[in-house]
Amino acid sequence: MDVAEKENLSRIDKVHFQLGRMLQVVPEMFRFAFDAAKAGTIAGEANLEIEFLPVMMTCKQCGYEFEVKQDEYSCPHCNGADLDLLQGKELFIKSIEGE
Amino acid sequence: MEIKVMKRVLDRNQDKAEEIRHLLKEKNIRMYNLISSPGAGKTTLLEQTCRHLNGSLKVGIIEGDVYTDRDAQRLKQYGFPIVLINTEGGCHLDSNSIDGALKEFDLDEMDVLFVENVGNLVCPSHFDLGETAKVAVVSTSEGDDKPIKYPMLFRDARAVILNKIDLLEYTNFNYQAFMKDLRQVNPTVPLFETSCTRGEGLKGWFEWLGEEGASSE
Repeated sequence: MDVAEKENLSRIDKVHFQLGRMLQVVPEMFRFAFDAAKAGTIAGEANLEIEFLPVMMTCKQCGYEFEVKQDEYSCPHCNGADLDLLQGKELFIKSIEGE
Repeated sequence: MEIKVMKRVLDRNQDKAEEIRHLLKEKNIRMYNLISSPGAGKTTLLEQTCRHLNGSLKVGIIEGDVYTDRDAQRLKQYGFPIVLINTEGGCHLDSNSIDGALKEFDLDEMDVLFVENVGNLVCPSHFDLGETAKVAVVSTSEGDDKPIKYPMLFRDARAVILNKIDLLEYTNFNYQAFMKDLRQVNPTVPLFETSCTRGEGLKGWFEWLGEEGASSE
C-alpha cells in the first residue's frame, strides 16, 4: 500500500509474491488470507500470483550449489553437512501491478 | 503498470530483530529462543536450567504465554527476573514484543536470557526475535516425525532436546526413525536426550550452555 501510494496508484490489479519452499506455505490458505486482507482496500479486486522458490544450499566444504529435494540437507557432491542457505525462506512482495 | 517492490513482508520484524541482536551483542548477553509444541517440556527444562545455573550466571526469562501466567508462576521461585508476554491468542512471539520485554530488565546485570516461546512448531520458527540461537524441544510422546514435518525449525535450531526419554517405552516413538529424519534435515545439530521431570540427561545441555558462553566471550 505504501508503494501504491508513492506511485500514485488508485487501484492494484495484481500482487506478485515470492515464497520460499522452506516456509511450507499452503497456497490455498495463503490465497484465502490474501482475499481476506485485500477486501475493502484499493487491492480489493487484485489477483494474487504466487511464485515458489526452491530451497537452495551451497556446500561450505566443496562450494557446490544445489536444490534441496525431499528434505535431504546434505551435499549430493561431497556429502558435506555444513551448508549455507542461498534461497528458501523468502516471503517477498516481488511486484505489484495497477493504475 | 508493473512496479518492482521486492519488499519482505516481515521486514519490520526482521529490522527489530537485528536491532535486538546488536543490543545483546553489545551487552554480551546470550538469548536462547526455546521452541516446541505445547507440553513438550520447555518450562520444566527451564526449571532445571534455573536450578543448575543459580549462582553461576545471571539469568533472565521472557515467558511467552497465550493467556495465563502459570509458567511464569512456576519459574518465579528460582529468583531470576521474569517478564511475561501474553499474546492474547497469538501463536508466536515477535521481535517487537521482545523489544518491549527487554526494557523491563537491567541488561547490565544479565548473562543469559531464555525466551520460552508460545507452544507451536510453525509460526515461532518464522519470526526472528534477535536471538543468539533457537533451541528446539521435542518429546517422545509427540511422535517421532517432528523433524521431517517441521524442517525449518530443526534446520535453524542450534541445539535439539529430545525430552521425556523416560517415557520412550510407553510410546510408539520410533527412535531410529527420529534420528534418521533429524540427521537428514540437520546432520550436525547437537542432540540432548533428557527427562526434565526426573532431571536426567541434562548434563550435556548444561555443558553446551557453558561452551556457548565460552565461545561468545
